[in-house]
Amino acid sequence: MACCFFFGSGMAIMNFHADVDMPVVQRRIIELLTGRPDRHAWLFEIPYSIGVGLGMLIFFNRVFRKRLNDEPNPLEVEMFMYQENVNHYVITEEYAKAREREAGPDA
Amino acid sequence: MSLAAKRSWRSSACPAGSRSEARSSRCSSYWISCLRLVQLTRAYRRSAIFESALIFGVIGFNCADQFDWRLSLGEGWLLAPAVFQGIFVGMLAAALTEVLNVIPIVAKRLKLGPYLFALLIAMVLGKVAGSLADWLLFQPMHE
Repeated sequence: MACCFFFGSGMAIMNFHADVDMPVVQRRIIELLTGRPDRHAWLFEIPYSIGVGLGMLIFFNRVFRKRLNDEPNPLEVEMFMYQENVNHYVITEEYAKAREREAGPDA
Repeated sequence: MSLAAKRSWRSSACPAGSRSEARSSRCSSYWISCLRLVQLTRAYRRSAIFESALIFGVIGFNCADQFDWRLSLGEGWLLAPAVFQGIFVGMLAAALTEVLNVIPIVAKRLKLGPYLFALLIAMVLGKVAGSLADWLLFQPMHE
């Protein structure tokens, strides 16, 4: 599953780059900042890639096993919401069944 | 963190309970990543700074692009915008609701709850590796 996520998310970020035409935009930014068009700005590309990982870690409130503070991260909230929705569904379903059973003999 | 601080966070972060959070995660990943940053930095009072930063960023880069405002900075100056743009895109990618919707189901169905952190790290490393491979291997190949 970890491999699935690894390759999947790698493909997702490449899809994103292709989708928004990132190489063109990046060349433009480099041109605007340094004043000359540079086709391979390693100085831009490598920090950008590391920044992507850093941004995800910041979003999930984790920096390598250590939590930045003890707020729940969005993933935990989302898992909680999923469980809540499942519970809500099951309870509603059970009530509907019970009501059907009650109404059953009369109908 | 003390209990009082925790309680103050609870009351200030989501006054209407966690349901409002879930609803906001459905709207747009741009918005949620901005909200998340404000939440993470505990800057509810100062969130005007974040708004101004977004507005000035949009206007500034728009003008620079349209009016061709060129700076002639050294190569080293590329590091700062690169890192911050990377963090922004990373938060954006993490905030995609597909990611947030799929992981809970995967974790529950395949009983991967304890390995959630490993999955998260796999995803982060995948993003970094994919981005590096894209820039350093595949983009030069096209030229």
